[in-house]
Amino acid sequence: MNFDITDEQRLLIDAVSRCLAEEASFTARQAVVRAHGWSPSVWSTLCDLGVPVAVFADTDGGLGGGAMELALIAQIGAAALAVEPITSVLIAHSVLARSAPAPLRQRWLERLRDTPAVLVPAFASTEATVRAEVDGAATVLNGRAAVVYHAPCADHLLVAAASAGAARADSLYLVPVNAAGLALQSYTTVDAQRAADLVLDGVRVGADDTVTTHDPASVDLAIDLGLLAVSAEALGSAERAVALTLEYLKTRQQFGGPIGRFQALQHRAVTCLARLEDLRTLVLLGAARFDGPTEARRTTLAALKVVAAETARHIGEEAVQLHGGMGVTEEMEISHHFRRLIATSIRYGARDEHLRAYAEARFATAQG
Amino acid sequence: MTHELSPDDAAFRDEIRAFVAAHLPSDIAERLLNGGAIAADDIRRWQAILHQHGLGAIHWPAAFGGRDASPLRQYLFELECAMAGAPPQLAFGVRMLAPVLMRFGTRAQQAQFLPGIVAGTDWWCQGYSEPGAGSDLASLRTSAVRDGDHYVVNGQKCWNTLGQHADWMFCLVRTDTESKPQRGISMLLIDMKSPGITVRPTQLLDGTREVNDIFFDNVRVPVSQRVGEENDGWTIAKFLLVHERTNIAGVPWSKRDYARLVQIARHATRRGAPLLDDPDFRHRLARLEIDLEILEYTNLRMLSVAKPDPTTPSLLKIRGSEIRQAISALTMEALGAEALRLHAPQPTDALPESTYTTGVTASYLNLRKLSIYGGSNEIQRNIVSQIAIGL
Repeated sequence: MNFDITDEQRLLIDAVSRCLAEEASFTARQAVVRAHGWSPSVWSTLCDLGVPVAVFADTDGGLGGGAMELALIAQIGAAALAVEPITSVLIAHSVLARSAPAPLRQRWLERLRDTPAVLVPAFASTEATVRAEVDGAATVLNGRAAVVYHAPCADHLLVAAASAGAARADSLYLVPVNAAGLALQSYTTVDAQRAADLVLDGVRVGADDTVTTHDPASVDLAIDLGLLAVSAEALGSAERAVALTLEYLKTRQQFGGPIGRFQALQHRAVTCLARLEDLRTLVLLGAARFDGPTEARRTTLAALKVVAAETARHIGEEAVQLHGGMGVTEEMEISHHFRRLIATSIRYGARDEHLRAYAEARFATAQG
Repeated sequence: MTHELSPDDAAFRDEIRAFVAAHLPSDIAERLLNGGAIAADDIRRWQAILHQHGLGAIHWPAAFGGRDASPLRQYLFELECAMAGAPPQLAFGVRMLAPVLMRFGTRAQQAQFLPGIVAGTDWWCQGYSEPGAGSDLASLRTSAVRDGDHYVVNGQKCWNTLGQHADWMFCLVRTDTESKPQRGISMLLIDMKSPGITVRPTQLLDGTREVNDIFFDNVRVPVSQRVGEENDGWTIAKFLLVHERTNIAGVPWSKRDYARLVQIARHATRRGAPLLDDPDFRHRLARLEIDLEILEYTNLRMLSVAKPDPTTPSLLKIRGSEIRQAISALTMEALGAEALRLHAPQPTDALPESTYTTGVTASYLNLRKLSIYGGSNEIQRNIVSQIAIGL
């Protein structure tokens, strides 16, 4: 039993942290958010470090990482409040690495060698909001996808669709954002990220761009990758929020001294530390069990999102409260983490949905 | 990173599992797994069996007859024992005093006391808290005044656990009233048969006799039974607390209690339907199971690193006590009115399931102690805050 990360993982996350500290400080990030919404130049540096291919196998020209690398990078990206499509791309690439046929995977990796191409998932649940119909050699996609994170930064989308007669999404397709019949309505989310609502009206996909069909397990796997990544984002943002809050308690002066000397505030801060430790353990466990038995993966990921959602809300709200009035200002970093935390608590399904799934998997009776 | 046991550790766990299956007396296991009370004799019998097979104190160094077991293996040992229905080992001897004697005791003290601890023939108890010194332990006032080769001890200890069975007590006493509170404390080993000791039970809310008041009236203790230097008792007491951390989260006991909760929940019905069909109950059970799994792995993370973060033991104490209390509360609720039988009748043909109601509410009441003793959860929060905020 060993819960340490490897030297290779340490090198990778140190490089990413350094890049984000140098090129995407809080001040620089604020300017980027106001101007363009995200920074292609920061993204390009991250591409040079190999971040997008971190989750592809060495034999495919990737860094050979897996679920743990996905979680670690998502965590430090969120700690830096990154608005670049780091997590979205890593989720999509993890799906390709695990579920795509070799020719499609290799074609996408070749494209990555030439351009900093961006592929993001256009789904965060198995709901059948897009339907796939076979039309000769092609597949035709019709439907909608709401709140697709980083779609406005993307060149391609990974679309989940339900095949004929299926009650849920069971197929995955690669769709260029300029495909005929695809419309994007772009906006900024509550956590200052670029996103879009999609309408697919007769979008045609060739066999070459078909990742998988009639394969609900692959869609489940894709959702679980998203659950792990967004929960790791909650951890990264919550860690930073707690660090900022502890610092504030030490420095903010009232009644002739720092407010951190008041026990009421100390004990609230300690509760945050305890919940942070809980989430840290479960992110590690989620990554460690990811490639084990499917049932253990699914229940652990459901448990992870339950705890990530609760912790994100709790720590976000407590951090704001302990910052007093400053906590609700645009100027302070803490309010941005609060918004990021709220977004992570909701993305890929809120707490109750996952608690229900966990409880049913573990305790459903014959009658129930 | 791997969350799996190494082959060696897995082999160790299997060895312990097989040993416990072969040697734990079935009358003890059946009673404890059904929520029955632990008798002093259960603890003595089990310790004697462990000792016979060289497992009396696996975490002790080989030089003292142990197996140098790592904190992880010590945990695996306790988990296997707990899940099989074994009574806990008496912590006061094997886990608390023994490491202190190995570090601070004289060779003569080690030779005199360690064999009785590991064999379970000497029952040890702890004399720390006093009526005026609970969370603020350093303000203790039980005095020890030097008189030739003896100390003369006068005062009162309280919340003394299971001292009614004890042969010996390790006791914190004040040997210097002049310097600041932490400086004037010494640790004495006191023979409970000494003239002048009175043990008076404190009746607890669950009907058990678990703790006592102990009165010292001119009790004479040989100076050779002082551990470490005079006035060094506080340092020794703190060392002891550090060594008590391996099981601070209480995971083995929570896992055993949780298994019983699930068993009860699977039997219980409401208006003719299984309790597990009630989504509210099922969700509460699920949330608790998630907390327990997190606790288990946070504890394993702490046990698998050489130097854990200094806040971790206190955080584990807080979470461990909260979770075990929550398990006992949900168990009580799962039983409904059945839980109101404080001491359940013996099972009969008409009421075959009544065994599983034994002691559920008594246990809930008893376990309030978890967030109070060993440094209350509020004291633990103060400790974490002192490290994290430092004000």
